[in-house]
Amino acid sequence: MQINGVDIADTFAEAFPMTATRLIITAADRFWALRAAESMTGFATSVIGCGCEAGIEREIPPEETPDGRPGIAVLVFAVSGSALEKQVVRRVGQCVLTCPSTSIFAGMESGKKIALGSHLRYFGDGFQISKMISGRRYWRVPVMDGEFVCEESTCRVAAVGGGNFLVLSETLAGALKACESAMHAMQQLPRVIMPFPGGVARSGSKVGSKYKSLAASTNDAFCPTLRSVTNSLLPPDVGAALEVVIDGLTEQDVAKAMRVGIHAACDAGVRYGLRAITGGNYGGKLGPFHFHLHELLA
Amino acid sequence: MSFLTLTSKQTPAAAIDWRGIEPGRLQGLTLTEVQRLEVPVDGGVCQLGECMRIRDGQRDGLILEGDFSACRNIGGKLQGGQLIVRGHAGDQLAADMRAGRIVVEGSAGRSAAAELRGGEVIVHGNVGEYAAGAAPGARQGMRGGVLVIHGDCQAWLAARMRRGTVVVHGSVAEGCAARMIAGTLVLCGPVRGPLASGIRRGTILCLDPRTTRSDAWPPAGFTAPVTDELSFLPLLASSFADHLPNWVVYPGERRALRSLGDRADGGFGELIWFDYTTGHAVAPGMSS
Repeated sequence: MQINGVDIADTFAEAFPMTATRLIITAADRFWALRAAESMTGFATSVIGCGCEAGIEREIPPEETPDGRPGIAVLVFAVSGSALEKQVVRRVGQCVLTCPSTSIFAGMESGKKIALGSHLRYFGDGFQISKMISGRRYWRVPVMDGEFVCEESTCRVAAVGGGNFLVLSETLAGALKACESAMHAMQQLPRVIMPFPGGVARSGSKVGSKYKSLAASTNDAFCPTLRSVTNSLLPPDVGAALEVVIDGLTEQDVAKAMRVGIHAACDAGVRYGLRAITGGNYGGKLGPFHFHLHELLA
Repeated sequence: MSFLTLTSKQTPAAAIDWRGIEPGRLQGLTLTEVQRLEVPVDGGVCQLGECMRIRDGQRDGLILEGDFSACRNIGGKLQGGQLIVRGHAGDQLAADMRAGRIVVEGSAGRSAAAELRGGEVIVHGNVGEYAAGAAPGARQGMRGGVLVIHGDCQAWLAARMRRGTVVVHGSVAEGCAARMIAGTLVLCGPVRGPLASGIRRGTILCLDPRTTRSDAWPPAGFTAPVTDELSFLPLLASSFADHLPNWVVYPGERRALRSLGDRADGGFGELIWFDYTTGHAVAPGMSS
């Protein structure tokens, strides 16, 4: 199978189950809402080392936010409800509560509840005020610029993490161009995030390592510098491989994002030496969600 | 097809206790069964058909026609659906109501919505003492839901109110929000003191410039007013904006004047009002 002359490998990309929540951060203006969202979703590329994966889903116009101010929707993914709650409370406490003029609201109304304001309210040292509005409880925590408004809890749902595709290009510059194009297209989609820097990981990993303490290690089969000493999966004319990683609220969301991203990469990348698209296939060991590239793009 | 309609055979209607006569209970009953429903009247019991003319209709709502000012507990234990009173309602309107909607086209007696837990109660006329408040001996007043009063309120409105939202278009008499525990009170008309004496928590939004410009404002026991940036205000306003009278133009601002009290009791309730010097519309008959 080819798209614009780019080979699409007959393989599947593996993904694994996660749990996720959406939070809506509002602020006095877009600048501060974005700063809080960027801060909160920083250092959240992989559950392996960060505890969660998080990213900005979309911007929300003031007329659609609970308090009529500019908003940013962020998605946070973790491997369990308790891990998600821990990360959400920590990140909101350190990155949103601290950011001038911000408020935070639940972005999901169904699913299992996890704490938000019910923990953070204690920062108010007894001066916090609770309000029930339309059956939802909000906390008003006094801070130095006025009040930090925080919804009592948010909900989490089952989600899919680690959806991916690999971009194989003649040069690193070409691979970057293809990924940038893919990211631009995928960022328009709701319900998904690409948690790595710019949505792309260069340190794709395989399951396991020669070192017993490591659960994952470099994916040597896709490292161009190891082509001569390992069972390389890189075609001969490929000089760089990059991995686009996608977390989504459902399997369909991830599949759609992969489809959009691959098409965008192929449309742009062919001009810059894009040779092939493949998937992160770990022989079924990583997770139960298998995205077969040919089926996805048919 | 209209709702099931009960019209009083006498004016005013006999002193019926209406607790439990609500759309949910009438849902599966035939017209004959409705006529045979027994209700407490004047210390005795009678069948509904004896004191009411009953016109069949949809059972998800109930219409009461006549003067029911001698009746108690209209809408008591309402769990859903609509109840419309085409006339006056008596004491203890919406007692222990959990959900649904009550509209009283006339006035209501004492303790209206005093035990309200959920749903919406709209009174087009006036209400008596203890509306949304705890009656003497009761620990708490209203515990949820929304009460909208288009007319005036007598004393002890929202006294010991626990939760929910009350919007008053008209004037409010003495003792309003006394020892209020929590909840939201929106006062569009003039307020007679003492206001919020002993309030613990809760929010009172005063939209009447006559009150907030008076020398007695803020009430004794409250801190000196400070202009605060309250990002929460628009969210709070969304809970009552639909119930404001058309002559009130809600400023929609986040900056408001705020005063906390009743500090004499260590309370942390808040009075919020706006600076109306820029000509916001106010109650009829008053220039801004």
